[in-house]
Amino acid sequence: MADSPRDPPIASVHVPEGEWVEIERVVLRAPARARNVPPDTALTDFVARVRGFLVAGADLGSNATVRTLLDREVGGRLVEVNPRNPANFGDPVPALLRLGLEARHSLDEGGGSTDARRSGGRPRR
Amino acid sequence: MMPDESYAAVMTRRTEIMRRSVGIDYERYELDGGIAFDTEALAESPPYSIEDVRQIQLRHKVGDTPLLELTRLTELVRRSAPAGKGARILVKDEAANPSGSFKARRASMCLAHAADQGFRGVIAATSGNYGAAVASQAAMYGLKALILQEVFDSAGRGQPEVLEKTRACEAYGAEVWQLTVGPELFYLHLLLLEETGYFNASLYTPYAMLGVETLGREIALECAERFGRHPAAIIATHSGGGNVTGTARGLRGAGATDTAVIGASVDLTGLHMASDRDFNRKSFTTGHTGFGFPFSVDPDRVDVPRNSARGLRYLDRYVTVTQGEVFFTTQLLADLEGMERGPAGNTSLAAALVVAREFDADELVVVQETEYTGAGKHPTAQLTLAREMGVEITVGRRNEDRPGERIVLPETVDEMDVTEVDLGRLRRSYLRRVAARAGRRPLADYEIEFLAADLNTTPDFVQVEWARSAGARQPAVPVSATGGAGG
Repeated sequence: MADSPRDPPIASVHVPEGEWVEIERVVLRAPARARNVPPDTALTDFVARVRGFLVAGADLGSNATVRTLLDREVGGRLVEVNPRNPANFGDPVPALLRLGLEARHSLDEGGGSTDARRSGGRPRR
Repeated sequence: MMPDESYAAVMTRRTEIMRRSVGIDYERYELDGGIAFDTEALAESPPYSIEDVRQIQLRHKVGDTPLLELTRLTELVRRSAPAGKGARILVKDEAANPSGSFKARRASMCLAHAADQGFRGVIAATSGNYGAAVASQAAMYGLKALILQEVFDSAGRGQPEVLEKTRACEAYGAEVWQLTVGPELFYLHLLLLEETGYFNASLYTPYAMLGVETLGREIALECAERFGRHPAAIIATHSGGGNVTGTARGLRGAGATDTAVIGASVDLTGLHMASDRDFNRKSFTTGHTGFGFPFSVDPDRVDVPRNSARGLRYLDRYVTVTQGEVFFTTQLLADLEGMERGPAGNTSLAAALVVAREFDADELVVVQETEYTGAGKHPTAQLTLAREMGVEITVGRRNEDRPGERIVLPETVDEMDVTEVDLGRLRRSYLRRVAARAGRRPLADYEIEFLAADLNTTPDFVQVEWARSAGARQPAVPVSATGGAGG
């Protein structure tokens, strides 16, 4: 496996041993990729990121080794300290809220049964 | 000396690596000619009865999930259904499994097998719920779990749902390799199997299928007891074929041979599953046509020599729904039934809201799974990413939906529909692929029998299409991230 293509940061930041960190490594450089990948993917490196506890103090951007949750050592370029998981709930989608509300109104107008609605009942409170 | 780690060198060692890491001698089940294998003998090779499976699963907190009737959604559907139509819609709340999805069933027997065989750890290549399921079950057995996930595009932008799965896997103590887009996930999978000597907890072994059989069985038995009848139809979100296969086998094993098995996938036609550009322009990471179609027509292109998940063998009908319809359905489930659940089961629920109209009001239509929801999995997370990627989000007609360009939310449940997938076309495509590999030669009787069963069709269909396809050009094999399809 080749090294990471990322440039090291300009100012060196030392990360002490034992920190929970993320490393990145290029598994396959673009020219070494499988032949059946689409043209856009073929232009990119195949990259992996793995997290673990830093085995020995190292500068951000330099090569380092981590001890993973499986107690295995994996090497790569040190890219992040205490990496945040960026998944969140995103922004509200007002259209979905409106559509849900309308479905609720349509079901509950006239008391929730088909017969009641046909008889022209009013929405329940 | 270090083994050669180049792509080509590792791929040439694939058969040997897979044989050592899965503990199944697949050669035993091969029939002469390279086309057919003894599907039933392979399926029955695990040394566990269905009752053993149930006991193992209950000991590991899996199964016996509630079968819930969705009365308000049923009522909503009946409002626009013809008089006397609109089946009772039920859902199997598989989110109640320890890792939050039916994949706990699929993982449970893989882990039981790995533990029996004395492996210290397991590896699974999956971007779906299966990773968390394997990690969760491994934690119960005290085994190590290493999970490979396709997470990022080349700009480092993560798919929110897969990011959530990384979190879940690490919460269960797994080592996770987060990867950029591409089928080389399989290459890395092989490399890590070789390096660690761990068990290959493939989604596609007979053990994985056996674990899902209890799902179909529980539904059949509970419906018979509670309602005095089997479901008229079961709808399963369809992707790699395992959900359909295990459920259908479980139903049949419990005597529900009169239940129609319907697969449902989210329509992502036009998006390439191995494309770096397309990767974050889709809002669903599994249960979609990008896996459902290629896995149906080329089931054995997976991380074991023979795939035990065989969608076409068990599907009576296959439909697609749009991304917008699934998001709308997710909202309805929360708003009308008070249940927030993740995307996977809501694909089959979206189909159920349409299909239920075809059946009499006293019949049962069962959606056979839910999954947990959370950050990254929620519609708001996916629609936020879609907007950032330039995908338009509108309310309107389903025929305006364009995967990767426009997501159209339906205005009402009456606006929803399903698109029928032509199973004949998929069967022909499957046969063309087999013919391209086997060459132009006559089929033996046992091969015709195998193909007819594998395609859920007649020997006549196989013979007529074989004669046609043997002279046809070799079809392009679709690229899929091998092993990552899940459902």
